[in-house]
Amino acid sequence: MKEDPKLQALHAGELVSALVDGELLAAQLAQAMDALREDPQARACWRDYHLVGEVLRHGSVAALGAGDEAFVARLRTRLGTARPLPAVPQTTRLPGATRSSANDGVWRWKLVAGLCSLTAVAVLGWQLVVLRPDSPAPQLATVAPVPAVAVDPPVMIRDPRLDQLIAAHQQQGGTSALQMPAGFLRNATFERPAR
Amino acid sequence: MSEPAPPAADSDAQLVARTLAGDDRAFELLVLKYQRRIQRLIARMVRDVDLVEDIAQESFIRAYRALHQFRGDAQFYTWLYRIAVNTAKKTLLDLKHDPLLTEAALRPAGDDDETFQPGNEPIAEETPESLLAAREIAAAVQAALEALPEDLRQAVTLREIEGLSYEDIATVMACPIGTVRSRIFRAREAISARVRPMLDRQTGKRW
Repeated sequence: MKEDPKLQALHAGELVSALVDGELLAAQLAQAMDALREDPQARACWRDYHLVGEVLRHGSVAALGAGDEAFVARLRTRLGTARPLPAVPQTTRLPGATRSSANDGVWRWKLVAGLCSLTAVAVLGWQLVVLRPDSPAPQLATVAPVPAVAVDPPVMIRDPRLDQLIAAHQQQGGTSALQMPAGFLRNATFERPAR
Repeated sequence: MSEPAPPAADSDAQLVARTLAGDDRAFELLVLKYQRRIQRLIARMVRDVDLVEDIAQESFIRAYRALHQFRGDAQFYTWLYRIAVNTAKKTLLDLKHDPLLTEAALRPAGDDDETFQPGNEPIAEETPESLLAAREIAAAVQAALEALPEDLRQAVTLREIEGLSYEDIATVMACPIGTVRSRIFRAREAISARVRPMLDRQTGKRW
């Protein structure tokens, strides 16, 4: 048997009133939404109840525009082309619930992050072991010291007459008699203190 | 009159959830609920009436697009308010770079307070006629409230002005929650019946 339309309207209005107050249960919410979708009177109630509440709370009401319905209709048209919302399943967050991070479901991120952490720890640990103060100093490449050898000044063995000849030439020319003439050497001499 | 209590935000959360589940009519209910407040907010920043509506439309569209980012940490209106203010500021910035639309459309934006309440200052969308109608409606609501039977008046006052939940009202009035719900509904209906002809006259045929 079908319910009396008047009773139906009353029932819908009461649901809308409770929805305005946020006091509807989930099951009743679906009923209220159905009423608001199908019954223009219920939609009028929705707006009027909010307006009445605004007046009661503030003592006044924001001036009414003449185009409230047109505003919603225009917005409806634009929203029809906007279609922005991602397909969100029934896992819609409730207020107060914590939101999971975006990459929660991607196990690869977790694996990579874990490996990176492990590598960093291993490297740091190795550095600590190697550079520990009480550990033996690292062996660097060394060169065995060469024993110092006393070297006598070299003794030139040559004919004493040659020395005499050189000395004589030095007295005469002041230049080395052994010097070969060279065009590119102008002032180079082999001066040697007289013995 | 005591300090006004904010309305419950639970219905907003429910409507947001419904919208995200694909019910666009739920978002329209949010639009209907907040449209005038948002327009009034924008009208305090912008003089041009047409611009006010455009920015309000853009604000709701942005909110719709970003609705999946609404975390529910704050009230829905607080979130919507931020979007509207940012949209208005961006529009004003764009206008400053447009030589064809200059100072006439701009107005200092000093009232960014989301707790702002409707006052007596004239704003862009208001005309003397609409202001008069708003005053008449406010007077009619007060008169209708005074004419209510005591139990209905107490129930709706505790709900709308004191902001009590149905459960608390049931405790105060020593009656079942179902009775509270019925009384509040009947009170609202009685008040709406007084103002509905004025609203229809003001806004034309609705729905």
